[in-house]
Amino acid sequence: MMIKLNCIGNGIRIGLVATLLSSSAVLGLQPALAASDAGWKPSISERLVKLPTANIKKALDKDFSSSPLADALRDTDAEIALKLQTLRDLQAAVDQAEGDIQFELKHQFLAEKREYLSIVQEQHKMRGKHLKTRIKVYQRLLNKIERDAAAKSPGHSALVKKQTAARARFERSAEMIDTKLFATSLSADSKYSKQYAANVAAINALVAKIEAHPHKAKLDVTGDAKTKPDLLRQLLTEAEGDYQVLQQESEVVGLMAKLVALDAMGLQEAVAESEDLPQETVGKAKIADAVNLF
Amino acid sequence: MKSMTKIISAIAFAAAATVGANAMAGSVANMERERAIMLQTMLDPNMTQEERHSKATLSQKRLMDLERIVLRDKSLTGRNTPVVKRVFADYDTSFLIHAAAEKNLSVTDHWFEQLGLSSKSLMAASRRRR
Repeated sequence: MMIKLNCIGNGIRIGLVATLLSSSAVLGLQPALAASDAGWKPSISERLVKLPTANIKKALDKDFSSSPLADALRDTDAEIALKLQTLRDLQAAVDQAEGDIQFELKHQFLAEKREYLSIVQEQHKMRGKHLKTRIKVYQRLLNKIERDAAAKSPGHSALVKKQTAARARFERSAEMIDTKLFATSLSADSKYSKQYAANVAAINALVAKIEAHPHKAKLDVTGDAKTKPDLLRQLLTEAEGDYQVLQQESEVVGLMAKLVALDAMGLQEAVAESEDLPQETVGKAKIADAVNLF
Repeated sequence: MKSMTKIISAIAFAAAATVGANAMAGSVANMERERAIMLQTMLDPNMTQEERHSKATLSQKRLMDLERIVLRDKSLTGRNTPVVKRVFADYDTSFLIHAAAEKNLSVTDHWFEQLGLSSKSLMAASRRRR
């Protein structure tokens, strides 16, 4: 019985040393698991410029969703959920167990915590990769739009200005002109006018339906952003913010790893104290006991 | 012989496609043509008053639609070609029907006004040898 207990004690001690070392490794941000090679190379970054403002984020999300990195992240999320369940079960078991079994379960609990931290760290690495890529894409799009705007000649800008002014003048006076011309033989009742008016009515009806649609608000991710550069700057800020939050989470993981290492040290000491060490007889033989032999 | 027919039909198809594309891109050209015809009709001394009136009315109806087509044509936005630039350079001369109605003038009066010719200046003009 004594030998068996000694064996358990030795096993736990070796396990604890391993836990301690690997937790330190996690703390030093050197992942125990091999880093995932899954990546994301957005294939649509150039086409995004041409998309309507509200669709840019959705298109990029869709592209990411079908990437190997997203697959890997989904797998890791499932793994983390399972690991958390295991940790909860083990925690409940530790609370109910006693004696050596409790030591063994505590050791298992620490080992599982270490594995959980490794997986979380792996997940953080992948999330970081995702956010960095997203930031790069937004930055590139913003640069492209700004470059395109700068490349437009003053002549082009002047033309667009004049066209806008002409259309505004026409829109302002169109109704008044129609009323005036209705009284003359030049009534605006041509085939083109009729068809155009019918189509405008249809378009307005559809626009009103779209505005009133309950899902419209969900699709509208533009918020206060009115132009494409506005939205891109907003998305860029959000992605930068997410990246900073991720870095904070990594700090939390580091602190968790430190706590696991300290728990492992405490458990090692507790195991050592509870063991029945054999009575020490080394150097205790007295010379007087041998006198009778001579 | 068969291959020749094929080539000819391919060329004909391509030509038809080109004509279609030109027609799509030619809203400005159509408007300018119609305006030129209308002005020619209004200034033609060989026509009777009735003939001129009926022809000009027809042209003005057509021109009104064509002006609206050009003004609403989104494909022209930013198209920095000499023709498009010229059309949008001066609303009053390019969109004659709308500008005239806006100012409550007849198209002829508006046109002359744009050229700097008013009834007053014409009445004040005198014939003399240069």
